[in-house]
Amino acid sequence: MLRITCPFCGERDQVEFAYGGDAASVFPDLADADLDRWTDAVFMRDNPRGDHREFWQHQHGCRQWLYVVRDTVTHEIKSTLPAREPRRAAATHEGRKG
Amino acid sequence: MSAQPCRLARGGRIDRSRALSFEFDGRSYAGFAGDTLASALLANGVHLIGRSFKYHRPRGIYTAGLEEPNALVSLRRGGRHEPNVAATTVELFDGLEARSQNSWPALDFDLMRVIDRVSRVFASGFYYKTFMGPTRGAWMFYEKFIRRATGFGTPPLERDPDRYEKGHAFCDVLVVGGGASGLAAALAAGRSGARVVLVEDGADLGGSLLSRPTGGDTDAWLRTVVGELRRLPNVRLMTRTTVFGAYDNLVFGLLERVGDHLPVPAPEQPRQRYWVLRARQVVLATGMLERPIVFGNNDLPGVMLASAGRSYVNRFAVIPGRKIVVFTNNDTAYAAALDLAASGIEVAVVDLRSAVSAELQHDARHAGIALHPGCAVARANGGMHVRSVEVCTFDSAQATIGDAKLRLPCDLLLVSGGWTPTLQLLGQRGAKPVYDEKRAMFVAAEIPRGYRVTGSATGEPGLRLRVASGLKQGSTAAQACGFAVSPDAESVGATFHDERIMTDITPVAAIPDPPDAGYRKKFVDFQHDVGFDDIALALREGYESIEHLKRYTTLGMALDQGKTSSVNALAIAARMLGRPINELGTTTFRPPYRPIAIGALAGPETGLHFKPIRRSPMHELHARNGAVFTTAGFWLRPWYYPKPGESPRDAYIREADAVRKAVGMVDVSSLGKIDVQGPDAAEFLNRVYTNGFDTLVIGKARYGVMLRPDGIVADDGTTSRLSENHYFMTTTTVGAGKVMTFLEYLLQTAWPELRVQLTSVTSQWAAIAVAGPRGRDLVAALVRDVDFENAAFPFMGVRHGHVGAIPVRLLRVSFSGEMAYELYTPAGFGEALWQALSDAGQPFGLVVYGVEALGALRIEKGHVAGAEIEGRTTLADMGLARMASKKKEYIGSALSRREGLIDGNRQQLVGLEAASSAVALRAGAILCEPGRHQGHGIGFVSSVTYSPALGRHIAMGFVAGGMSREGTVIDAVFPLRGEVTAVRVRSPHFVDPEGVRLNA
Amino acid sequence: MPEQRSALASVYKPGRVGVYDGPAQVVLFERANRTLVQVSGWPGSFRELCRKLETLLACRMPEDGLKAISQGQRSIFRVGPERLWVAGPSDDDLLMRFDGAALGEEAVVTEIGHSRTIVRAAGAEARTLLNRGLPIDLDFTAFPVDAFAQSVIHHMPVLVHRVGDSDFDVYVARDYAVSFWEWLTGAARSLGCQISGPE
Repeated sequence: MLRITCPFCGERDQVEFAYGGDAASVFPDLADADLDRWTDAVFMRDNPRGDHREFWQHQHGCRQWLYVVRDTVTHEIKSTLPAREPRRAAATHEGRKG
Repeated sequence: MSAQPCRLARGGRIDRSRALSFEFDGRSYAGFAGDTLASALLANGVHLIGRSFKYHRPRGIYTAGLEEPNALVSLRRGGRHEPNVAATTVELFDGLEARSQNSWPALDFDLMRVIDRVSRVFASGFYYKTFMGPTRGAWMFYEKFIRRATGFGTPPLERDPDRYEKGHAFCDVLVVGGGASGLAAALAAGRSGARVVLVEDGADLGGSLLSRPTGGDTDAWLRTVVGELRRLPNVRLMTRTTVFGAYDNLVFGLLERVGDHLPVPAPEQPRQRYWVLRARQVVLATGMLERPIVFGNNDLPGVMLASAGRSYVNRFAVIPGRKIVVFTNNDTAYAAALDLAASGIEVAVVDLRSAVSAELQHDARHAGIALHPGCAVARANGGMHVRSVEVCTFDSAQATIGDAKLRLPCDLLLVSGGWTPTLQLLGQRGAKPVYDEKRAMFVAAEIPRGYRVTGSATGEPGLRLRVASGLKQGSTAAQACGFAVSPDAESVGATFHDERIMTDITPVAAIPDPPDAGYRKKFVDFQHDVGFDDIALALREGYESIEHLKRYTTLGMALDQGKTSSVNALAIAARMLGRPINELGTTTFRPPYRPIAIGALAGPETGLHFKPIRRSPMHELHARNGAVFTTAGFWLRPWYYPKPGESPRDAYIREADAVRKAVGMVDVSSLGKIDVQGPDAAEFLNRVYTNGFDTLVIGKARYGVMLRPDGIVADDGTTSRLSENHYFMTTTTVGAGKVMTFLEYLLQTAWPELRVQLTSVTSQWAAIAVAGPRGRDLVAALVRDVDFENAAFPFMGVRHGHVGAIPVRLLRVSFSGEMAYELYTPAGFGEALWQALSDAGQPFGLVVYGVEALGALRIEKGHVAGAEIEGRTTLADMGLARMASKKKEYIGSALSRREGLIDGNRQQLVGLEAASSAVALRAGAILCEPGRHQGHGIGFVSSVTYSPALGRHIAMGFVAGGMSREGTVIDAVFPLRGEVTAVRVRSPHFVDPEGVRLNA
Repeated sequence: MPEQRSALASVYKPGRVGVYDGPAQVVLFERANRTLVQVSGWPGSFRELCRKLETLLACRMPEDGLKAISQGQRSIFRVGPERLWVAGPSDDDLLMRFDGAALGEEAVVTEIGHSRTIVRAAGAEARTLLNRGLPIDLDFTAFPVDAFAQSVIHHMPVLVHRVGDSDFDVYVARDYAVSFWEWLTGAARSLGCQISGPE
């Protein structure tokens, strides 16, 4: 069982959270109707050994969506950020490059 | 009840003032408080405890702890019957009933023993090789006989009457193990002020100290330390508790045996309690376990570990034999030999090392112990109990056996093949131990973050050093949690003389068969009856990987998980392969460390409490009204309200018919309700719904459909605009949580710039739908402050009004196709509103209806619901293509245009009616061309009902080509029941397709 | 306003729970006469909104999601980064005050008083009782008076507020209230439990 530190509520049990998928992929603008870009965002996933960027929602807490870096080998939670923060957008960009 | 012939007159840590009586296989025996079932049986001279798993060999008591492989018994009766309990772990209580296992007809005369006589045939893989054969049928036939011949105890057949609890716990420092080093660690950490939890598997603290002679200076040390620990308010001592699992992020699973030492748990008390404990640091003081030596007939009753012998004589004052042989490859067994000799028992030591230290030789001589160095016990003799042992000369350098030297008569053979630190919890975290050749043991190598290992678990034999290490590790663990440790934290008032430090070992795991001695089985894993020869066979057949070896022989896969066998198996395999043990590696440790009851894991979450129930504000009224409930997600909803003598079918047909003819009301409080507020609410809804919401005028509602990002329909519902920036969204009952979460996801991850607040108000509002031709009359009779004229309050209008003093929000929306209103009121007024409608409804012919009638009405109208919005269907599939706005993009719009979703051959929604009014249809039936019942057919039936309006069964379904098949007759096939029903394809709008009723 | 019907009306029976006859270590009762209003703001202007609310309610606003502010009969929780719950007695005029304050687009006010049932667990073992299901450390050092946490008990979302040394208020969604009550009184059996009349 994981313990995840919510930036707002503090360290909590996994049972309060819901996994929300890969955070390295973000939706294109709605106005962008390009099928390939949407296909990429919705279906294509990396499966890294090591750091994985992912969304979790603190569903039974403050209901914030979090941007989490988790090691897929050790399950260590390396960092958590509110998903809506601009820093997250930058981190996502970095993660995609890496 | 008999006397206790093998009990010493004095000594031990038992309470002689509390005599207890117990039964084993129907015979009464006496014991004392403080006994285990095993020690009490031994005190009564009972050694034969059970029959082995596969060969039905007689087995006795091999250990004094939870590693016990042999002495498995069944406890208690009825629902409390518990199989496969190690007698060595059972605290004796008055009236305890225990039974032996796996014998027929009786323990001392077991007919299945014949398997042992022909056991060479029954080697590893025998069953599969013999019975799988060329035909699977053979295995199917023989399996039940094989299953009966092998095995452990039988499961209980009655419901478990006991309660189980769960608990959540937190601490700074968790100390696992209540022996000397664990107590020391807890003390040092506790003195710093850190919150400490110390967990001990047994009933008493002290660990191996309890197996030392009573009255020694270690007893004084123990009293001092435990006394101080009990006085520290920040230290919690949990005995009778096992840390069975070490999980991610320093989370641990614990099992507390609250009532197992009692005949039945105390009133209202649970039998066991399952704890989830989160620690910041953990100190493993888990000790070590002795391991056997493998030789012929080494499983005979009367053979046990040397440490167990010491434990029985010192802790329980039991002399497990009158004439004892100790067989060892190391120094530590001498402690047992000396303690037993001190009790006046005849002891001989067979030591396979030729060089035994002068000190030990001197002690042995002084105690009157006959010492046979450079010798090995090649086999034990005896039928149901050991009577003598064959001693041969042994070359420990080459590990080769020499000539038979002598036969030593004995009734107890104590064995010590070395020690294995208990590192399972580290192993569960993926930290594999490494083999230390010099000490002949697996020791911790990589230590995961937050973990510390101390005491015997490090392989350290000296008590002083173990205690010092415990104090040190306890302090550093507390420091790591941010607690200051004072310089004297690591001193203890009481001291003790150290036991002689004994480390010498010649690591021989198995004794070769002596020349011309005949074949005798040599057991490695007693509990699964896996022998030396099985390992040899597995290696010959190529199962050299240790994980393969384990699975082929099932070694280490029994209840004891190889606690006494896995290291010996590795040593034997390594020697056979001529490779070092470290190259073979170890198998993977997984929780639980010892068997735990499923009931404890389930805790109180059984029966009614398996999952929580969500109840509508009007639930009690429905129950009083005789409603039969059904589940939808966590919700309980009225399914139908049967009148006396009515079948479920009669009831829903009557209810649905009344709605079409007069008026009905149904509780729709479980619908998901979301307040959408903020300056960007309209823009937000435009992006998530396929249709437009910015154009919705205040005071109106609109039906909306949402897609998933992949273009498949996600959910539907109506959304009303209450003011410029305030919308009120409803979702399906089951989809509510999913929709809320997804909308929050979009706002926080994709569109944080939108100023929209979402609030789930599902629990805030009670909701009642009133439908039927007299619906308006009824609602208008109650709500006097709203104009119900068609022009003033048209279809899809939203109004606010009151019923008496109760505020109501009215939506003129319809799921049934009838003139209908949804009435929303704050939940605490729900009952009053329902009651008011019910009271006022009599003159209008009001009926209450449940979700079955609701379903019948919506199918008659062709409205889609959960059975159609099932995760594979698109808007077009459901005939809702007009809902897809062409003026804007929305979530799912791009991918809804992908090739696979616009394929003209997709299965699309149609209505179906039974060709004959007499036959019923089934949801899930496969639709096929007439007579061509192959493969997946051309579609399927999603929803069915009897239609009171049409007087026959109708259905909704998906079929390739959709409405292009209108008017044709196809087959609905239900292979499970061998049914084929002819159905006619027609529009799903069975009733009032023009919508005259709802706009009336 | 008509009286709100308690979600627990059908199951609420004051008296001892279970047959255990030791002293009651836990006392449970419903806090029936409470109201609850949610005020949400926006990242850029939430501080300013809080200042307006401080004037309006003559009370400090909570700084974080760990500790509530209790003043008189009111308790204020910061349940999200820009979201407050204001709990008060049922005759509190919170909504009127908010409506009258012309908070404009800077605040979204939602009445949620009917959506929650509030249960008080008091007594020496109240903490033990809650931890039978609540995965939150209730030790005084980690969870002092006025600390609160939104979490989950037996799959049911709850907000737990420490209102005294051994007193806790649990806010649970109304539709779960009966299930929660059954869970709570069931878990309390082994501790010795008294149910007193609603407050």
